[in-house]
Amino acid sequence: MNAPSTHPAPAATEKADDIILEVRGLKTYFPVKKGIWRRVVGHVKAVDGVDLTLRRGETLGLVGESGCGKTTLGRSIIRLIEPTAGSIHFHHGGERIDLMQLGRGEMRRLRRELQYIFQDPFSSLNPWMNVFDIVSEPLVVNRVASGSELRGRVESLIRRVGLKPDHLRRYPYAFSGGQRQRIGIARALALNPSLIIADEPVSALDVSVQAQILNLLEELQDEFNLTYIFVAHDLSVVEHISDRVAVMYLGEIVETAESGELYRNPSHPYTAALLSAVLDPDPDRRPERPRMKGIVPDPADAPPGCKFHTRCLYAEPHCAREVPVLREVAPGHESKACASCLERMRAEATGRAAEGVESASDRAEDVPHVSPAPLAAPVEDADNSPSNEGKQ
Amino acid sequence: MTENPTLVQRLTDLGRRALGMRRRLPSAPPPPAERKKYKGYSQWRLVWRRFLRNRAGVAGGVVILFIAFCVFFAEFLSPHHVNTRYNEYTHMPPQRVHIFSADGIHLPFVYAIRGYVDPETGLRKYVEDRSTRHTIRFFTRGDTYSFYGIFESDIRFIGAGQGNPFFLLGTDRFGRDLLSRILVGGRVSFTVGLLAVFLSLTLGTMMGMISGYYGGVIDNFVQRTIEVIYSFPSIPILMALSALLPPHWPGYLTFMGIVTVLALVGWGGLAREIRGKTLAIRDSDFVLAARVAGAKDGRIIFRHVLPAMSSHVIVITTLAIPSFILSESTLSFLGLGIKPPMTSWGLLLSDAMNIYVLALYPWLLFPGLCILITVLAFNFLGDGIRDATAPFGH
Repeated sequence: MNAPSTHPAPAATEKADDIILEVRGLKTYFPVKKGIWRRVVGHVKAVDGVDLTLRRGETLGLVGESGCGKTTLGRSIIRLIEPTAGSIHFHHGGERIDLMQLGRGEMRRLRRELQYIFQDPFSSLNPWMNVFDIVSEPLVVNRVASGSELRGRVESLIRRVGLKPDHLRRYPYAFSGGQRQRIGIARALALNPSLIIADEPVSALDVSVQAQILNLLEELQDEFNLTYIFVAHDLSVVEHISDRVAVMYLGEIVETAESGELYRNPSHPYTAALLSAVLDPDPDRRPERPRMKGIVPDPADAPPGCKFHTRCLYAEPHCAREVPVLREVAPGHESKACASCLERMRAEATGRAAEGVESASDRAEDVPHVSPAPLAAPVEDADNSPSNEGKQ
Repeated sequence: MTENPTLVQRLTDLGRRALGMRRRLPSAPPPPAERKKYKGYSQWRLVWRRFLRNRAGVAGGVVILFIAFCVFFAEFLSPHHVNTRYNEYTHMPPQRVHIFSADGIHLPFVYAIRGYVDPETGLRKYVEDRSTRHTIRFFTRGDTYSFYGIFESDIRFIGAGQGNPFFLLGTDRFGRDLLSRILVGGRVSFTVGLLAVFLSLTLGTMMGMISGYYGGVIDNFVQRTIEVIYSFPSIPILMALSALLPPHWPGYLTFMGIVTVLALVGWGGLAREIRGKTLAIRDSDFVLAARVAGAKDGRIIFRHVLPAMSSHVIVITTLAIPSFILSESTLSFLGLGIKPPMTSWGLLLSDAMNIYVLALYPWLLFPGLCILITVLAFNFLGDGIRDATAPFGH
């Protein structure tokens, strides 16, 4: 997404290094306690050494399976959950502030810039407060406005997200999921933040409503110059909204790239497996089997070496010993896949592409890279349930 | 259904009607005007609407309001002064109210009563003296009483003339009117329940919320304290604590003392429930949302946690009142609670301690009936409120 048209001149020149957030080595561990004395016997490493860089005005999609630490990462970045280690530098007003070093009070004041949209539109609105109280709370708490000014601001917010001012007197139970999510968005916008972390904001909604909310989020991004971290498990949603995508597995980021590049040229076996699981609206195409084996390991007892090796189809003995690092595989495209694994992926992909050119996806035809679809032979007896119905 | 319903249809229809089920109609949405109004309702109004549909709960509430009214105006409603002794009418059974006499219909009246000693058993017996009628009068003059120290009056709601025997629920062994004593004693029992619940609720809510919200060491300390209190058997600890109250204290101080003792022993259960609820609400998304908005702990506790808990608090309060009433009765019954000249339902019941008394003077059990009704009414009310709040109190 490009910088908004309101101030094009500075945005165009500074865009490349106009960084808003730098996360370095972020770790969030939850202790596992056992026995009468509640002794700490281990840690769930929900976020285990994450590096992220976010440019102003962009949308970073954060994807991964359930339990991979997406939500924890999102919440740790704004210290809703206290991270265990690492640094979070937030650029605000020409300053570079390390959120981890802030006291409670300073952090509370800075929350005006860092807002959060919740996954569940039902539990995130206090059922005892009416919409006006819910949306105005951030303004009241921060003493931004009061009286008729407050009312005016809340009314314009609620209009901006597509609701009517006479909805303000109502209570959350009177709204549908999509409307509730709009209320949540209005609340997040109230303080005019610069960074919004949206935690699967559409996954609890109907598919028809998802599109409306996504469009609303995009419009608001242009209008208020917002930066998003968009957490999701649905790759098609992420592709739609993100400029860049980070793929998470067991608390680590295994691959980041511009979203088009990631979809065309997945360079980590996990990303490839995730993409193979995306349902295709074309009913004639046989859905492929996800190309990995087993289930997510217990995050309290993560495998040594490359965390993905227990499920990877290209695993070799060295994978259990050597810890891979993020390295650039193409400009702006980083992956944690080890060299041998990447090689085998590429080889298989080109082999498949040569074999079945006619079946290659539309996407693959207009790009020079390999097709994302046939990276490995589908596991026998592919599940042939109709793809788009399963999604509804 | 068509004009010629089949046999099966007719039978189903009949069956449905017998079961009081309506035939399924095309779903009729409420008229739009009403629906619009409904949407603006707050949680409280929704809860109230639901509560009104629960008959047992409403009945409980009405009974409690009635009892509250009676005990508030106890002196006015009672026919005699609590401590007036009618020595010639000791242990008199409940008197009957008549309308008919030998010479026709009258306004409700009671006959005069003559007491005598049964030569065989040596017990006092009473017969109606059919020659003298005492018409029951309302807003009549009787013993003087002081209305909460605001004014003095001798106008009583009901009576049969100054000095005449009028004992609708009989008398005790000193010839004191049981109805009057139940009314005045009820005030003590009822207010002990309310005050004790108020005190223990304040304490319990505070401790419970602190314990649940902050967790950790504080939580551990509060919970262990509660466990220590609860690991003592309750009656001995109540007895021990109330034995600490100096016997020379005036009545109202003893009363407050009893309230304090009950609250000190009883807050743990409330605190635990509130802690559990706080724990659940503390981690809910809307509390997180408030934190994102920049709210401080105080605001989160009072604007988010407390309101979300209020329905729960009301329910546990309502359900806790009867147990306090019972505790007070237990203490007074054992002679460690309210002391004469004050009286309470438990103290009145202590007159009916042995089987000999029960067999001869069964009306002395009336205070027990009052306790029973009050406790049941509170329980019905509490259940009703709980059911009404359940689907909204996330």
